[in-house]
Amino acid sequence: MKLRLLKSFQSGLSACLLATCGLSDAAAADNWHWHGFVSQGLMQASDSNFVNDDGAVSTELTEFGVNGSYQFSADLRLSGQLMYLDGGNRYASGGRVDYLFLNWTAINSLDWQLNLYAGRFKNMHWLYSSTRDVPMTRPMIVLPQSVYFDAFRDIAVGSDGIALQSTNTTAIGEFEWIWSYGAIPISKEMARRVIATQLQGDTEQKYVHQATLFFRPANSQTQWGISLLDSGFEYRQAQPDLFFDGKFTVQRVMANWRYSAELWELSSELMQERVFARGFYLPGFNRNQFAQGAFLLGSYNWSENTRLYASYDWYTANKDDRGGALLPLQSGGLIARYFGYQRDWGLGITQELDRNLRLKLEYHWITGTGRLGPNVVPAIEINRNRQHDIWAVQLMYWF
Amino acid sequence: MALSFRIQPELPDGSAQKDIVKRLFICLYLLWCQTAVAGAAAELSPPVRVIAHPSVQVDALSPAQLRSIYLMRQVVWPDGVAIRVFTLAPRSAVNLQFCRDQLQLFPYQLERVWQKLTYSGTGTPPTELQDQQAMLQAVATTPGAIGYIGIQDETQVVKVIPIRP
Repeated sequence: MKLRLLKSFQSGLSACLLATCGLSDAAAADNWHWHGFVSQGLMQASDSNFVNDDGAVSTELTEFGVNGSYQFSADLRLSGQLMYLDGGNRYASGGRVDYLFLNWTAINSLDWQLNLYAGRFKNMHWLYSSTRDVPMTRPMIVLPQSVYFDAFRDIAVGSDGIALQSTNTTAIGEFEWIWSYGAIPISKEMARRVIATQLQGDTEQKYVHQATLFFRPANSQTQWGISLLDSGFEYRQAQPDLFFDGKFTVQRVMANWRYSAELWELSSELMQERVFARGFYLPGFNRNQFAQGAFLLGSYNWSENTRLYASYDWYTANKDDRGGALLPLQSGGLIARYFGYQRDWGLGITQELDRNLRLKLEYHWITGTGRLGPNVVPAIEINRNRQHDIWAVQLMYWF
Repeated sequence: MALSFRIQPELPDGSAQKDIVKRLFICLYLLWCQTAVAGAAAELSPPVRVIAHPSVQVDALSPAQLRSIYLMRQVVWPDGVAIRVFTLAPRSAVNLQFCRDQLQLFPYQLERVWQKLTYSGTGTPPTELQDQQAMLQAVATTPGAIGYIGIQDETQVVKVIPIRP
């Protein structure tokens, strides 16, 4: 019944938009494409602030969205997606324009395709970044936080700017390279989730510049990738404010790999992230720190409708202090060592209930709180446990 | 073929074990025969053929080019006509064979790419059809269409495109 209602909603929405635009013939209808998804889940992180501050079972695992695209000509297309997300403390809740961009296909020969995107586009540089907020495209409900840090989601998920994507097919395999340049507006709520809850001033992303190369060797089920990111942020203090004017440079080097077999698959991403802070804590303050992270994620097709997942995620906030020993020394004992790292073992199961209807269930055993927001001034009053677990169950439907 | 097993209550020492081993060998032999026949049947199943609308101006594709089309990267034919991609249900036998033999991909990889395109706005998924007759009809009547079928005799209304490495 629910599925039929959603189908009717999709058809109705398409018809309304076609009527609004005065395009009612079959050819125009062929140029419109509509899709969407709805999902609701339950989640609990009883000993951390990952979902909420009191550790209770939460329904703050809601994701739904509707997207549409219109093909103006063979080489020009407009695409957009509206979304509503509620992830509790994980990211800002509410509606948003997930993407809205023009896609110009500059070259489309049988061996070379080149596309230019202008507008708000998704981050296409990492294995799961472009659809990290679309539940059925994620391997797990909670992605490995070393790379896909949820508190940073709204900043890393996309950009307003331009991007190029090119795919070349050669005798040795397929090369795909992606380049993008842009920035994303940062609301106070977003900044508080990633920097500090006490934040009063304005945070601005000045730019984010990314480049990625993927290689898929011929006659192989393997994919290799390398990705670079350079981004600049500026903080302007308010009055009164605990913090000062400051600048942050964030740079990432990443490598990724995936192997696909008929019944199982392995994927992995490794990253090193440099954060260079100037000011902010005190006028004239400078700090250069390198974080490192990596995950290995495997899945196995247990039966036609059941897939099992297992992951291990590793993160250290400072590669020169992997155990976090400097944190209590630098903070006068306020910040425990375990804020300097995070290790996560995860197990999950996905059950296909019907075509386009899926149930996911997973459990995470976590040591360390290095990837719980906020990241710059951690929530020491809530995250008092070195060990903390998460479980989540999510039902999703898409069309 | 049916095997009858009779219980022999009185056997000399060691005969019971020999009998069990003999029966085990017979069972393994039958299992091997069954596997060999099934393997031969799979090898003998007709190959899936790539078909296109008769107006398509391409006479052959490489496996990589076909993959580009089915990954929805290649969206126009060299003469500028938009490509309309048709597929069968992911779990149908013909689709499984097409993915394995022609695309050298597993169906779940294709679905992942199509979902990524659909929900990141960078492309649209292909049109899924009910069965091979619907595929034949859709490809025959849609300019720029490409699809695949396992049936061999009814390809007069479409253009068969050989896949050459």
